[in-house]
Amino acid sequence: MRTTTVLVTLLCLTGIIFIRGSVISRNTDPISMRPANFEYPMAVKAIIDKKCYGCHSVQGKSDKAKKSLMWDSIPNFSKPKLVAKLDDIIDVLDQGAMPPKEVVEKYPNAKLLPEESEMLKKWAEAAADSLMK
Amino acid sequence: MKIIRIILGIFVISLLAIQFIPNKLPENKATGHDDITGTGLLTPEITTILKTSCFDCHSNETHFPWYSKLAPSSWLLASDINRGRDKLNFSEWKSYSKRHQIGKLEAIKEEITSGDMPLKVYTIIHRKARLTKKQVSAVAGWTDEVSKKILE
Repeated sequence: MRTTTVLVTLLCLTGIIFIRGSVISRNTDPISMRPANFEYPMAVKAIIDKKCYGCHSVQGKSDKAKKSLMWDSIPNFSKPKLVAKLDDIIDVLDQGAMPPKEVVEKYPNAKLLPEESEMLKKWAEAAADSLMK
Repeated sequence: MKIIRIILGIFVISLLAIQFIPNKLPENKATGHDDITGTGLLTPEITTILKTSCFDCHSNETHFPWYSKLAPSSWLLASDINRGRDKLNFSEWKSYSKRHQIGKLEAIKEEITSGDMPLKVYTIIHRKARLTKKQVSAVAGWTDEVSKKILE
């Protein structure tokens, strides 16, 4: 009886370890390459929703815009890709290239105000910096 | 027949005239200590690929063939080289912030994987610059490695 109990207990423990082991995340990427628990602060999200999301989301009409940047996809990027995208965003903000001229001409309210651009830039720089620590 | 001669004459005169419009061909500044080749990041294989397929537009070591000085081809070249260097210049690599380097590495990977780079208008003439699948894979792998190294 005792032997059986011990054997059964051992079998159960082995089973538990085996099952748990197979349930553990299969992400074999090194830590530096995994998604970074990335979220947009509320103030930043407000600007993105107002001035960017119309084109750079699933509902956007421009394939070029969607190919270039999708705000909803970015949080799932690996760290290097995330840093790269933030760098790209900063470049675009520096050049004042977004929203595109044709869009702003048609919808003057779409223009990024200087303070909005500044806030986005500061956020992107800080976010990239913290990812690179 | 006279009309053909007139048209030909106008054509030749126009061709001569446009040579006097200054092209905006950039110069090859001496490559200094910011060059990527001095960083130890490149293997011989990657160096060869970059120099053959990328450096004409993306470095200060452009090879200027005879037609590069002749309008109107000089205008196209000037535009491509200026824009190329502006977007990415391997001769200025060390002057880029780490963040910017990661940004550029990702861009390199995307552009060559999609086939958007090197430019078709370039590889039509420079056939050796065409990237094989193996070369694309090698460079893409290299960009991943270097990004990883920078982040460590």
